[in-house]
Amino acid sequence: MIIDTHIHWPVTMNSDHKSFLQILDRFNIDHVLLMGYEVLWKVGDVSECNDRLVEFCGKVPNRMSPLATVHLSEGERAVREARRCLEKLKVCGFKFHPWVQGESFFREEMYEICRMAGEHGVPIVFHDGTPPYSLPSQIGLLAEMFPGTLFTLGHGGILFYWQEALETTKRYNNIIITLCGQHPWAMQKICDQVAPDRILFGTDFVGPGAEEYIAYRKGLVEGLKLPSELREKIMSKNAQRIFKLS
Amino acid sequence: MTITIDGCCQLELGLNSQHDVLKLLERMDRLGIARCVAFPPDECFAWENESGNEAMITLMREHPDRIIPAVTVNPWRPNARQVLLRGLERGGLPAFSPGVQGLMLSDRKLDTLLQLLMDEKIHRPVYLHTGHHSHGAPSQLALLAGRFPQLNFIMGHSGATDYSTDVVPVCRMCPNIYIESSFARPPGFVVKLNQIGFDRGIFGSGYPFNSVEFEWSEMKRLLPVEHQTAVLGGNLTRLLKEHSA
Repeated sequence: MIIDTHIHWPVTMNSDHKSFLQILDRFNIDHVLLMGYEVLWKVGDVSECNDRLVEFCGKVPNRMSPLATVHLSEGERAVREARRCLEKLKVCGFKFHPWVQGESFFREEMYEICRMAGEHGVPIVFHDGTPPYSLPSQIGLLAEMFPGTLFTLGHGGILFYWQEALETTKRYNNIIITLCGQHPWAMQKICDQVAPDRILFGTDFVGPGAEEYIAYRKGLVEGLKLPSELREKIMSKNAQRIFKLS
Repeated sequence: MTITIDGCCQLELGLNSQHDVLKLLERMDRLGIARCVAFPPDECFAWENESGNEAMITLMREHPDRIIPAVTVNPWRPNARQVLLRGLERGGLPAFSPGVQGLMLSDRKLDTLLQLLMDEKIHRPVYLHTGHHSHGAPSQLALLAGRFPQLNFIMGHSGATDYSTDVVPVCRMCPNIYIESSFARPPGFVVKLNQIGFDRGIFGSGYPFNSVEFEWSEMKRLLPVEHQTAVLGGNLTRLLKEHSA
């Protein structure tokens, strides 16, 4: 079984869930934690984007689970929207892409959202590996401030910050790391050194036309030297537990 | 006959170097890759320049038809010109890694060394690692390449990952920049070549951080058949030949 915990689809521009499912089927992906794409670039109203994302996932709930986002620069509205996503839309977690969204997360709105996420037991997934707003060590600071909230490094540092991601993950028990974007040398080190229950898999597929990235990223992980039990945890079991997928 | 080349492999120094290179050559043999550009490890870019250069040149002498040695010097060193010249005179391909060497890619300190190439009429392409956030932006390379229109530059790693968006505009502006694929992921690399021309692409595996076999097979799978010869060795061979003339 494969659960892709880092995958995008531009739900407000393309509501054709069947074509999305065809892509998942082509690459044997059983379930996804789905994030919007255009919403991260602040195209359209964020509440409407979250509604559409939840509606899209709701068409085939056994294959797709939504990760909502908010724009922190919207201040109190961001906090209200996050609360709505948790209480009304029942999302599985949040996704933040501080580099693309253009916002530092060291602000009160983020802290409030971290508290809420902790209370609801849902993780916050971050893009990481890009300065100045998305360093693994910066996300580590949030993890220290909110020990009851789970934070996911959505790229595990990518190419230049994977060692920082590894250090951050080792230091904070509430940090989860994703194999998604690093080279296989780094992935292997992560798998060898991080607790087996705290590693996820993702492809970072961004939508129509980028399908080959799924093949490539899957191929990288398939080439790692992993005991079968660990591979199973990375590819599905950890995600099931962390995102409470039934 | 066109030669197949892996444009980016990093080799070990010291006790393991012989084993490392033989292992790599064996894997290249299995894939039909004739040659590779051999880079010393990061510490040799940062500090141990001479030992790295020496090791790569020795490998070339031991495997003359297989190894293209990359040589470097940290531009901050007072005797940088002499160290680089020594490596170039023995057949090295000049390479720099500004993020590791502690300067911006557009820094004028590099000019002195590039001028050395011009003065000595050693017009080999210059390999520059890109992708480091502050020190390796393709746009910084465009500034450098604009100051040396007579030289050709290889954009190592094609700005991977976060400068992926800058590669096409930079290459359109600078005809003397070629892009190398390691860490840039074959699906995205091929899309860029579609926009700037397949005669500007150079395959690199990024060994040992990436698997040579997987990168090679993915690139072959995704490249249009008619452009495979160029990207998998032809373009780099042409650049090396042009400049040895």
